Amino acid sequence: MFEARLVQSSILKKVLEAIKDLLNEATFDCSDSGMQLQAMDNSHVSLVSLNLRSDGFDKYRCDRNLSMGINLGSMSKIMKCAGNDDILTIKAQDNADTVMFMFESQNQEKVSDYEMKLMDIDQEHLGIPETDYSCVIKMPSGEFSRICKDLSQFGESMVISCTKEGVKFSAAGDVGSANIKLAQTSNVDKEEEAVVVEMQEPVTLTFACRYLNSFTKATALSAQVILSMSADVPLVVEYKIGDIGQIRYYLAPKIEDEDN
Amino acid sequence: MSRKAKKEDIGTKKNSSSTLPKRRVVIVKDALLESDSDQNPTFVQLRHPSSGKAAMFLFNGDNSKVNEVMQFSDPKRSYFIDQTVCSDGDMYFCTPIDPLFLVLPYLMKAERCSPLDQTLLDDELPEVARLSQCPMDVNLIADRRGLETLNAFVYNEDKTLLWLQTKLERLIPVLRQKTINTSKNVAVSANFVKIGEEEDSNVNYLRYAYGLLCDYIPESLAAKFADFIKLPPELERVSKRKEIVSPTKPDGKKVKLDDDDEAYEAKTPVSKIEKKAPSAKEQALAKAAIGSKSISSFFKKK
Repeated sequence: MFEARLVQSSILKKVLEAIKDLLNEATFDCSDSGMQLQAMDNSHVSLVSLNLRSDGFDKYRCDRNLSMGINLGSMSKIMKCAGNDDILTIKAQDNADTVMFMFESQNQEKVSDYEMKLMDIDQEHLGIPETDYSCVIKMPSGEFSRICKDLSQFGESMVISCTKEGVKFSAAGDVGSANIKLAQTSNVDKEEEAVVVEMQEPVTLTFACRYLNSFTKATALSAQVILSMSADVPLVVEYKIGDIGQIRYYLAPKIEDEDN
Repeated sequence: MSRKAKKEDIGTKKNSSSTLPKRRVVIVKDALLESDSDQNPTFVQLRHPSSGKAAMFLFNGDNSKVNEVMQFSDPKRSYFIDQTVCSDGDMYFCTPIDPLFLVLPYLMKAERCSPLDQTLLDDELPEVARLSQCPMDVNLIADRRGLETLNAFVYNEDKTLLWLQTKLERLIPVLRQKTINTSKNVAVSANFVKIGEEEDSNVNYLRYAYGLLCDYIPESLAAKFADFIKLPPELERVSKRKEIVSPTKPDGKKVKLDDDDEAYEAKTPVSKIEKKAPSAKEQALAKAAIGSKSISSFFKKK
């Protein structure tokens, strides 16, 4: 049997908001070490990898490894039924075809149960190799979200170029062109408000704006976002989820035009 | 297949003994009883390839041949056997079946390549292991991996579809030869020969043979097989029905389609997966993906 208790149910609420734009359904793999989710979007251009460690839960029990195929739209509807301060318990029997979500109010006066049908999903796991990225950019997540939103008005794709001066985001289209440059923050008061660039080699890559915009739905999860880039490999956009885990988005770069 | 055996020389056998209170009348081929092996033929339960449920099958003494057992029920009948009455009026026919049909669902289910005797394991129906002793050419539906002695196979859908097509091609001439009525809705007179329907009947024979085969393969495969042989979808069904004047409704009003319409129907529509049209958001996301490399070109499957 599987049982996981999370005092802050709002965390899972935000996680769902952060992935349901890209994925319609996905498999939650539950094991002793925690809950994992890995799935590609329908176009197979991006990959979402979510990890919630078991020690981050307030109570966690998983007797047997369990894969729960979940329609994320339905799960999101259920999560919306939870109050922000509610305590969440997820329960499933071994080999069950349903999963149970239980919300308890802080004062234990209201308890709501939601049972959801699971589905069979053909899942293929991709092996993601450990990579030393040429550039690692840490920046405030709100800033990144704003940049993606602003630049997507100018073009469908965005160029992210990282040099030792800082990082430059640019887009061009029918309206004109836009460039946003961020320099490293010199005096750091709060770590999550700083822009930090660790660079071995300069990298310039082009990505689809719409996908980056979907990634920024995770902004509510963390004040800081980490972008990792290397030439000709997917971009990694990582948000920490409190003390419990992290969500990583991988996005394949756009293919450079031959004549450019 | 099974049809052939019925016409051939068959012997009747009382599968009975005086100590057992229940006796049954089973019709089998003589050859089955004259097995060289000292062991008797055995009835066992195996998984039926189409339904996946347990069904009776008959193995001969040395497990070299497998027969499917068909039951013909008639609750109002009994038999006289010698001086006694057998109250069970059912009749059981045993007809040979290609063991590959029985192996196929197990091979399809096995995700990886494994030796045949390990593929043919079933906790609920352990007798399935007998199948591995049947002489058959598993190469027709699967690819051999490793050494020949290992007897390891991995399922190959293309081969299976070709194998089924061969079965189909052999079945149709037999159906023609036996002039089995394959037209769906119109009764055919035995006295008057209908002419000028040659082309239509080709499709009917194909559909009938396809229906026969579908009784022995999993439904998911049946749908793929229909695509593979390009089985034309059924048309004009409703219009043909209109012409029939039902005795209960002589005014020729439109007859409602019955539930138990026809046993041999193409199973394609049933297994079709409903796919929702992508929402505007999904379409936009798919459009944005154009020009990007696929993520699976960077990360390999585990």
